[in-house]
Formats: sequence, C-alpha cells, structure tokens
Amino acid sequence: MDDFALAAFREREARQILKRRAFYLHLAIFVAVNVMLVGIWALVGGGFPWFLFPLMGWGIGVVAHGATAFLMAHPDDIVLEREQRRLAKE
Amino acid sequence: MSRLFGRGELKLALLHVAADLGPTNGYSIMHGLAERIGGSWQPSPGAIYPALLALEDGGLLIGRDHEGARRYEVTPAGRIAVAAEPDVLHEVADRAERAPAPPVTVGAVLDRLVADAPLRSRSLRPPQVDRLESLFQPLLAELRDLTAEEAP
Repeated sequence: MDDFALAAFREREARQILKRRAFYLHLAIFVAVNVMLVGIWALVGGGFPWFLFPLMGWGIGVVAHGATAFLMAHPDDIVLEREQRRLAKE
Repeated sequence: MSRLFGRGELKLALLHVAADLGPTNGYSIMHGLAERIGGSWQPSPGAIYPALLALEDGGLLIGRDHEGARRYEVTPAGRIAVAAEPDVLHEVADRAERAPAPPVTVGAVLDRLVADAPLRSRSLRPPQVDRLESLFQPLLAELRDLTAEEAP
C-alpha cells in the first residue's frame, strides 16, 4: 500500500482513538460527579430527588458525546474508511 | 484547516499544485501545497488523501500505482478547473499570512521532521528496535531538559 494512504489511515485511527478516549473521560467524570451528588442527597436525608436534574441534563450531553464518538464520522473519515475497505478487498 | 480553506478550495489548491508539479506522489503534492501557502499551516495525509481521492472520483486527477507509490496526474478536465480559478492559491496564502500563528508543540515539530520519511512504515527486526530505541534515549532526555527549561 502507498505510504501516503497508510499515513492517512493511521491518522484516522488515531483521531478515532482520541475521540473515544475523550468520551470515556467525560463519562468517568459524569459518573463520579453524579455518584457524589446522590451521596450528598442521601446524606442530607433524601427527600425530593433533586440530583435527577443535573443527572438528566448532563446525561443528554453525555449521550450526545457518545454518539459523536461512536456513531458520527467526519466526511473525510468516511471517505478514508471506504477506501481502506476497497484496498483490503483488492 | 477549515477556516483557512473555503468550500472546495483545498481540492482546487491541490489541483493547482499537482498541475505545477506534473505526475507525482501524495507527499510531494502535500508539501508543495504547504510551501505555496506558507504561514503556519501544516497539512497532514489524513486531510489531503481524502481530497485527492475526491479529485480522482471527480475525474480531475488520475492516480496510477508506480513502484509502490500512487502517482497523481491532472486530467484535461482538471486543467480546465485550474484555469477557471487561477487565483485560489494566492487567496489562501493571503489568508494564511493574516492568520495568527498557533502555539508550537513538541509533537508538531516531531511530526514535521518525520512526516515525509518513507522509512516510517518500514518493519524492524528486534535488534534494530533496540538500536533505534538506544538512539532515541539521549534525544528524549535532551528534549525533557529543553521543555523543562523553556516551558511557558
């Protein structure tokens, strides 16, 4: 395979890994903060579950981030993936 | 890159460079473009290769395998496209000149130094790996000292 194509495919893979790692970091922070909020809620005697508001609001953001990390791709990456599959078939 | 190039300008600029250089490989076209644009813009194969593929799909470039590398050549249709937009490289170069320079990182310098080395994808035997690592150890130590001194 052409060196230039190989470098492009590696760059795409690196970009994907980076995107996914950024999502996992976001998810870890989301879980840690919300566990803390639930802990505070329980410590102060429970009652109205106010922790659900940040959990759901931020949760939408986390889901959207997950979608961009795993489901959506930059048009250049779609072209590269298609080419990589085509070259693999040859 | 998206701010520097307007819609379709990257492809057109690559076509201009390919027309200037004659039949050549992707690295030469990429470096030719970086030279003509100047400024702090640093292209990468990840952005340039899809654009070359799109130009091939559109019939403006033709790619032929030549001694393990793909060589690109502008087609007659590509030459018409180049002639129709003669100023695109100057316009992008003007924009690049006016753009503020981004901070330079160690990674960016290393990428620039080794980006066009065809040796990158060559396989190494275990003794060669050891030798390469021993060559890099003093360099890495020096790099750590340098960044420790000069870190902003």
